[in-house]
Formats: sequence, structure tokens, C-alpha cells
Amino acid sequence: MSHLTDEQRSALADGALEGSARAAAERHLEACAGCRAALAELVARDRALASTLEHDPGDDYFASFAGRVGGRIRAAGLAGAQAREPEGRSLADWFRAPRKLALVGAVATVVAGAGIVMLVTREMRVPALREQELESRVAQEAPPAPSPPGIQPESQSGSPRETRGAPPPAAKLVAPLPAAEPVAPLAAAGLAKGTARSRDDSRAKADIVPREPAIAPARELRVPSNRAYEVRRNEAGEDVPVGKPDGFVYRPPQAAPAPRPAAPGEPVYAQKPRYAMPLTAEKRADALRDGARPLPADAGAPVSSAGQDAPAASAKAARGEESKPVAAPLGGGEVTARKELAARVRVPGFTDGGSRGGRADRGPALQVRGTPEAFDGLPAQPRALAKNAQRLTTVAETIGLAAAWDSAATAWERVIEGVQGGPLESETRFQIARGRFMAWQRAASGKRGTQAGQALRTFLAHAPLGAERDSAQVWLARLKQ
Amino acid sequence: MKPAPRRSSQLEPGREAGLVRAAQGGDQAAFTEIVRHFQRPVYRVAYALTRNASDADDLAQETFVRAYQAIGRFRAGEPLYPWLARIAVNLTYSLFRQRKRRPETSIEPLVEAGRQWAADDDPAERAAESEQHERLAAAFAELSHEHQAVLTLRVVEDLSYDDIARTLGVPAGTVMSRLSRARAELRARLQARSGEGP
Repeated sequence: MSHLTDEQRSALADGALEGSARAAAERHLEACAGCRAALAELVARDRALASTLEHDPGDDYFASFAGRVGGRIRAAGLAGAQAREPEGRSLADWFRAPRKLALVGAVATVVAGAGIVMLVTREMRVPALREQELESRVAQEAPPAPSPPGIQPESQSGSPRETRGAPPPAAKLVAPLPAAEPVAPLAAAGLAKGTARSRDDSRAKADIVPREPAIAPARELRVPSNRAYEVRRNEAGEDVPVGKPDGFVYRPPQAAPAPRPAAPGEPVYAQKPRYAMPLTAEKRADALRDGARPLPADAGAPVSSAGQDAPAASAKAARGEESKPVAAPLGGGEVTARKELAARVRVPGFTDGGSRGGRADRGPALQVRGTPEAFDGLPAQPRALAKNAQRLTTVAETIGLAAAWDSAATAWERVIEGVQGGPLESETRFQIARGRFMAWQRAASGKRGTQAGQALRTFLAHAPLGAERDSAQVWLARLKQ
Repeated sequence: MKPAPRRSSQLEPGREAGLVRAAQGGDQAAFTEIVRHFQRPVYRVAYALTRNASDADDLAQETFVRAYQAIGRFRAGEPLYPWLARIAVNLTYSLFRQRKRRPETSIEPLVEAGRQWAADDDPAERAAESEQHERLAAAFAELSHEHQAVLTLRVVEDLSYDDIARTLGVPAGTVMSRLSRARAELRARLQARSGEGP
């Protein structure tokens, strides 16, 4: 014989069992003394509990209760009760409901989050799109020798690149108008659609210097424009700047003349980095002071074969202090300071674990060998990849997200094929290592740690002495922690 | 599943609906009559859950203030007391969350009971009853808020399963199982306090 369950006894005590269930329970109770006792105990406990939990404050208390409630309502300044509105509730009523407000908030949060993700994802996709455009541009900018009329190789202008033995740079289109064959694909590649979409697009346009007599052929259409200068659209679909009636002729900005080599004894000023990082006011003043201080007279000369650079001497050279021979910590023998121009940048969030106070607390100044223009001497394709990597690095420095540093490092890895074995390989490997380390530092993960470790070790395997090597060693030590 | 309520907390259906409609139309007298009719049951619920007269007074008054604010959204014709009891229970839960602690067992019921007991009662019997109330209150205080609420609405207020379901916003079947578990839990805690086995 199975006894009544707790639920059956509870429902029976409450009179909640009906029909056959109630009849069966009552039949069982008649035959089972244990269940009868349990049910009686339950009912007695309920009564005792009701007695324990009840409390009557007295009639006097309740006589004034309604008045106290009314006083509280008046004190709160509540308006009179509103009748229920079964249909057509107003928008304000809808927003007064807390649950609906929470729902609206949740939807808004999801939409905002999706928007942010889309923006970030879109930013990360830019390199692929840019590379296609740049590659198509590269195909147009490298015409075979001999140069067609109107195309003057830049090497003829006596550029210093010639003296550095860099590969011949891309020819500059001087006036391929009316639309010459190479220009049509350029327009098809989206570089001349009427609106300058980016700084690179502007530069691409600036490379095309219109021959003044060739402007405004008979079939050109005047295009209403909101630009600062008037343009015409030629047969190839390009916007061509034209002169205004008052004689003003738009001149695309010309590249700054290359600095002439420093004469012996003449002070040389360090170039400011083209892609400046966001600096605090204090760091900005520091950087300006460092950048404006003259370098030693022999700055810019080739590195001596007596030894490699020493970081301390290089830093002193950059600050214009006297360069003395120092002992190389790894190579042995005496070395002289590096003699090439250096752009001084700081890595955000990086601090030297060494001394406290002074410059070390704000992070060591990195000697970036070569300005962003250092990659200009490369052939067109690796140069375009390097520009893209530099742009992504600037983006990563600005937004500081780990994903952005990942993208920058990946972009630098694409550059490495074009600079392998050359003077820029070390710089490129440093940028890869820096990007990987910064990504790991922003959002550490096992994968990022492995990538950063590999990149740092690869860089250190062939890195010359200098601040970059020191920084990489510090980063690697931090990674191992 | 319709246990007969042992105590009526409801007005006649037609009269209750009329008072609600009048109150929704801004009739202060109608709302005052609603307060006077339901003040005792609302206070009982508040006191049973808090075991504190001051808290119960505050919660009961606040229940009617909230009802005054929201009566425009109440559907006239439905039983009013489960709606009021729901406001009271929710306010009590909010109070518990604010204090981040369970309400302490008050000695006020014992004092009150002591006043009611006649002087000719047997002192030994009085002491035994006092001890039983004390153990029962302590065991009840150890229950979860859900179990306290369902026991209060059934044992103290005598609400039907349907009204309890409406008050707590759960199905009637859940009320039956929750009541059974609450009673079993209370019995187990009483046995633990008296040193008996489970």
C-alpha cells in the first residue's frame, strides 16, 4: 500500500483535490493511520503558523489608516487615477512602462554594438580594397622603357634616391591628355570617380600633372562641383582641374625638394616623422625639442665598418651631444654611433622597467631607422604594401585596439617579401614584432603571445644594436613573464 | 483545485467593479472605501512576510499608494485583492533586496499573544505555546521568500490556488507543488530545531 505523498496531503488539507483523486485519498486515509496522523499534523502546523504570523494592531490603527494613505498620496503630489485606456495607448505611455523601456534599451544596445562591430570590421577590410586599387595603379605607373612622350622618369630630376642605389622609382605621368591608353584603366579602378575618397586618392591625382594647353578639349563636359577648384570631366571620365575665369589655375601640390646632403661641419636637423603619433602635451614638447636639436656634423654618413651602432651613442647623436666610442655589449670592440637620420617616436603604454624618474618613466625613445618615406625607394608593389602597413600602424596607434595591431602586423608581414635581404628588412621585422607585441599587450591570448614571441625572436636574430633591439628584448622578457 | 477560502477578502463582484471604475474616474471616496476594505488583509500579508509592525505599516501604506498610481491600468471586473496582494509581496521583496538580509524574527507576536492570554492560563502551558510560536517563526524565517509568500497567502490569507497563482504570477499547478514543498521544508526545519530526525 503506497502512502499519500506530501503534495497529495497538502492538496487534501487545502481542499484542492477533486473527483477520483479526492475519493482515492479519502479511502486511503480510512485505512492508513500513519497518513491520517501526518495529515492532522499538517493541519495543526498550518493553524499554529497562522496564529504565529498574524498580528492585529487594533481598530484604532486601522481607523486612521486610510487617512495616512491619503496624506502620503498628497505629500507625493500624485495626480488622480487615470481610467484604463484599452485602445490606442500613446507613445508616452508606452515609454513609461519599465519593461518596455528595458526592451528598448536592449534593442538600442544591440544595434549600437552591431554598428561598432561593422565599423571596426569595415576598417579592417580596407587594406584588401586598397591593395587592389594600389596594385592596379602600380600596373599603370610602371610603363616599359623607353618612356613615352610626356612621361619623365623621376630619376632624371636628380633625386637623392639615385645616389642611394634604390631601384628606379615609378615614372610620373606629366600630361597624358587627352586620355591616353594607360589612364583609362586607372579611371576604371575607381581612382578618378569625381570625389577624392582618401588622402592616397588625392596623392594619386596629384601625380597627374595636366599639360596646360591640353585642357578643355571640345567634348569635355562641365561638371557642377562643390570643390574648391573647378574641374572638367574628360572622355575617360576623369575630373581635370581647369583655370577659373580670373586666371587662377589649380596646381597640384608638388613634392617637397629632397634635402641636400649635409656639408662637413654643417648642422643637420632631424626630420619630423610624417605619421606623428598622438602625444600628450608633455611628450609633444619633448619630441619637438629632440627633433629641433642639431645632429653632429657626420650625421647621415654611411655606417662605419669598425662596428655596429650603439644605442646610447645613437641616442646622444640624435640629441646632438658629443659622440664618443662606446663598448658594444654584444659584438665586442669599439663602435661608433649610428650616423643615419632617425625619427624619434614613443610606443604608447611602453615603460622601461629600469630606472625610475626622468625619461625612463615615460618610455624609451625608439630609434626608427628611416622615416615613413624610407620605403619610397622600394619598387612600386612593396612600396604600396609598406604605405598600407604604415597607415594601419597609424590607425592602430590611434584607436589602440588589439585587432588593429593584428592587422598592422599582418600588413607588415606582407611587406617583408619585398624588403628581404635589403636595408629595410630589420625595420620591417621590428614593425611586425611591435605590432604583435602591442596586440598581445592590449588583449593577451595564447595565439597572440605565440605570434609576438616568434616575431620578436625573428627580429632579434638579425637586429642591429640600437634602441629597437633593446625594446624588443624588454618586450620579449615581458612576454616570458 | 478550488479550496474554499476560510476568510473572505473580497467585496461583492459588482460592488468591487463599481468602486474600481469610480476610482479610475478620479473618485477619491471610492478609492478610500477600497483602502478601508482591504487595509487589514494587506497589512496581514505585509506583517506575515516581515514580522515587523513598523515595516508592515509602511509596506501596507505604500501598497495603496502604488495602487492609486496604477489603478488606471487595472482591468475592472477582475478580483482586486490578488492584485493588491501582489503589489504588497513585490514591495516586500524589494525591501528585502534593499536590506540585503532576511528579516529578523520579531518578538511582537509573542508580546501580543501574551496580552491576549488570560491570567488564569496555566503558566506551563503558556510557556510551551510561547516556545512553539518562537520555533515556528524562526523556522518560517529560514524559508525562501517564495515559500514564505505562498504559505502566507494560503495559511494566513486563505486565498484559493487560483488567486495565489494570480497574485504570484505563476500557474495554479505551480502553486500546488510550491505549497507542498514549502510545508515539507517547514516541517524539516522544525524537526531540525527540535532535535528530531528528518
